[in-house]
Amino acid sequence: MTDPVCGMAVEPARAPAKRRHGGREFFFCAPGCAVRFDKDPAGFASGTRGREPMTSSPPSPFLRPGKTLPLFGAPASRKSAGATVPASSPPPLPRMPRRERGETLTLSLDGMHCASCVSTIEQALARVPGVREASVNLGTARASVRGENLKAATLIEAVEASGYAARADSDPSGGEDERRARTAQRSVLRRTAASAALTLPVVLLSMSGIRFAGRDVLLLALTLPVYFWAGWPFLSGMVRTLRHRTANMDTLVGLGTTAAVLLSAAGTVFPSKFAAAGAAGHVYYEAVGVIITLVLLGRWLETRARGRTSAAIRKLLDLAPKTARLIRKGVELEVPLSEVSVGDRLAVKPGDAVPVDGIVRSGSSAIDESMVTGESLPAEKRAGDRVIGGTLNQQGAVEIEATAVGSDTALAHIVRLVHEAQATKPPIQKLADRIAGVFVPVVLGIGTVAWVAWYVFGPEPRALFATVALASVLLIACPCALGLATPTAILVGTGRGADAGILFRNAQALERAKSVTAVLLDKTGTVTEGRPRLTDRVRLARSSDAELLGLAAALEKSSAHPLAGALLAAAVEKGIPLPAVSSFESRTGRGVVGTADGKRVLVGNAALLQEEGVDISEVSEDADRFAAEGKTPLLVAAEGRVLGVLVVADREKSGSAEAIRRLRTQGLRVILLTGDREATARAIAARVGIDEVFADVLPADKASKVVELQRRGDVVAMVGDGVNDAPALAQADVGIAIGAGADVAIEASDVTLVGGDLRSVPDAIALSRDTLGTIRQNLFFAFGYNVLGIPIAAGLLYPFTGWMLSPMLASAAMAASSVSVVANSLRLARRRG
Amino acid sequence: MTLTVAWTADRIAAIALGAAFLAFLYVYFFRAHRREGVAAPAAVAGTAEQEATITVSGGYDPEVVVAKKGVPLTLVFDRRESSPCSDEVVLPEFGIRQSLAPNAKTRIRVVPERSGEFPFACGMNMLHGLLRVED
Repeated sequence: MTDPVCGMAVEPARAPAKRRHGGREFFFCAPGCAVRFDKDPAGFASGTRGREPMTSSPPSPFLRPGKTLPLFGAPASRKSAGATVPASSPPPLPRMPRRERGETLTLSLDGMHCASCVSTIEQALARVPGVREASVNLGTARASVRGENLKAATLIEAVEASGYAARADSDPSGGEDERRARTAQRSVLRRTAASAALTLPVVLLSMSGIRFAGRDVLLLALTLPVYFWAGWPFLSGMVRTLRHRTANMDTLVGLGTTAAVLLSAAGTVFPSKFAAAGAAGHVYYEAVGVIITLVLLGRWLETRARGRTSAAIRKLLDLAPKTARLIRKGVELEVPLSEVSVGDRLAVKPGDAVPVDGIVRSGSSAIDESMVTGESLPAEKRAGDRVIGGTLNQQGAVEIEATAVGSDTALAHIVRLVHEAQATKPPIQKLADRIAGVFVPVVLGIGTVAWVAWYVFGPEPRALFATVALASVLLIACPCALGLATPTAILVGTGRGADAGILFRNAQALERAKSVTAVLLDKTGTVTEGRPRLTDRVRLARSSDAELLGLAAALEKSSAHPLAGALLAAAVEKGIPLPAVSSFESRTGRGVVGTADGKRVLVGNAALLQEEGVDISEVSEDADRFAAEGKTPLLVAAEGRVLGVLVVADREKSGSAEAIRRLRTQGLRVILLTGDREATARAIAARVGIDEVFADVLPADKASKVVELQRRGDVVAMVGDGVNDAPALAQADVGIAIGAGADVAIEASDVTLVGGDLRSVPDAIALSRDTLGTIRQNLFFAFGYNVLGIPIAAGLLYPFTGWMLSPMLASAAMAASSVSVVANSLRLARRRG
Repeated sequence: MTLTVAWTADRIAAIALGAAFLAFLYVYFFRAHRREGVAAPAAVAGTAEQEATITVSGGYDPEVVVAKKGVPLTLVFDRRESSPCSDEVVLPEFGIRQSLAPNAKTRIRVVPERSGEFPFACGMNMLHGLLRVED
């Protein structure tokens, strides 16, 4: 059947609404369609209306003609979700007016099935007084309502009147989900408290040894509410899973407590039969109460602790402010973040968080980017520099132009990357997963075998001991510890990484990083800053700073050589004016020759000056010394006489030497990889503490160097920053992209370091080792616990020692096991990171 | 030590009962498992989107969702319990580990770009479902 209004397929038996018209029955996908049908039954029934969900609806009051209504999956962005302007409509219409500062309310909707529902609800909402605009997104099942003096209750009423359910949703980013989770948590806590309160007298009475007529009946009466009400989650879970032919913790706890209750109730109702079997007074009411209380408590603790495992990600999400200061026609306006779009100008005041990714257009400031890049020193930002949303502006005020908003921002990328990594499983989890998949049925089998064994071979009263052993086995077994061992550690580990600007692409990368034996460091941009700077200068007495640097910089200004930028920047920084250049010639491999300030100027290596007949004896020693240090000396001459030497070099990053020292302490082989000549490479390597160097490596050969190491049995981590490192990053066992900054979508790498500090590399390896260590401990504990606990609970030790575990102890051990696994994972977050 | 057991009728019955129950467990959990797929219908008539609602209540119902390749698919996980066992759903092939709010619907949108069978499971891999993508 099809819905005559929206044309959607409807199953008559499950249709939420139906109508009879003209002797035919019509079924609707949702009540809203039925409401629409009622307005023109003849039209819809004859098919002259309908089937085209959108055009059939009367134009809604707040939509201009020419707009299309939201289709499913249309981006939930902006306030008029999905309402798009066809490309053909000339000049792009301005988006919804921004000056209106009316409030926005978000509702969560239920019962929507088709686009027709969307327009029904939108119209219902638009009719509410005060509403200026309402838009419904089918994809997110949310309505966004804008206007003045809005009351959630009135809006909900309007939605409900049109046949749907709605509830207020103040925070569309999932706050509702969190609220529900909290409600569920509170209900667990309530059950735990009630269960404890009812169990306490049972325990006291049972242990006191006081006996009176009807004692057991009183205990039964106190225990039943615990079993049925407090234990309801287990009982209902047991029934639900068994119906699905699956089994989980609920099944085990439900069956275990049921066995204990049935046994005790039988003893209470038929005491004579129990006495006859030598089992008089064997009731386990206190055990039932304590078990349910403990398992509930364990569950509450576990959920709480697990909530904390993703705290790092939540912290990242909270970095972005909720509002931005939009500058429109010179006026500053505070608007919700969702209303900022690319190209908007935004003001960022001192102390503000940068709202979105952007480029500084005016002003300058220091911005603390540590939360995103992990770098502790604030970065200086001035016009033209990129800023990252979520970072903290310190003193200056800047105006930025938004370059990425919403899910396109660096922060959103980071969160997405981390989320994706957290969804993956490291190979180490495979076995645990296979076991968890069959765990509960196998435990039920072991329980059965234990019951039979006790019944056949056990001491009298056999049936009693057999049932107690069965209950103990069911209660001590804990698949949760197995299931939680890896994911919780991965959550905490990747979260701690994200906190420090270290993003693991997946769990496999996290696992592999711990077994790395050799680290290949690309030189430029990784160990060094990747930007040559003027580092030293030798000036002869006959010249001045202004002359030396001014002439050289003026000439180099016309050159595209990377070294030129260094001279230019130095001149600008020192405020040295650049004289006019009247001629310019570049001599490949030698330098530049030209006329500046009316003088013939040479800037280049010794060969250039000698060719031109300039005597360089005064500076040649200095030049050689700098060259030996791996720097580039530029000799400057004017009118045939040497003025001095400008030394340009790509400096090591401040943390490089420390990073390399730490990598070596971690037992790793560290190798510098560069296209520089051997001597230059050696000089730099020596300064940062590396002894192994691969020099003269063409970009295309970097990957083959990785292969070379891998052939010799090394597990290689390659650290690089540039596009030309991509093949090597992909070839390496662990490719680490460094300094990705805002551009975190580096496909070839396994690990992305958002900041540029090389110290993040030893941090990443330490994090990997820590996380894998925690996973191993967790798995060892979870396996060991079950492998030891289940046989003991089954009574395997009884023939030798006479030990038999009480179901109460079994459940305490079970509750403790999963909590301790989560707690162990949480310890990861507290280590130095 | 030696065990002297009197093979009374009830003992023999217990063994028989136990064996029968083991066989039942095996068949119940590991055999004859219904795995019929339920096709994901179009979310909105006439649009290139598909949607399937999966009830989460001690398991996934339906257990197998059949979807068309290349068409964006929204899986609506309608979780009707608060047992922590189903707190999360994991779709490893899609890199998704999503927490499901208790007693609420959670929508997960994926684009199945390859045909094949893609299992999904709870965070602890005890509850299982399958997404079958067909050409």
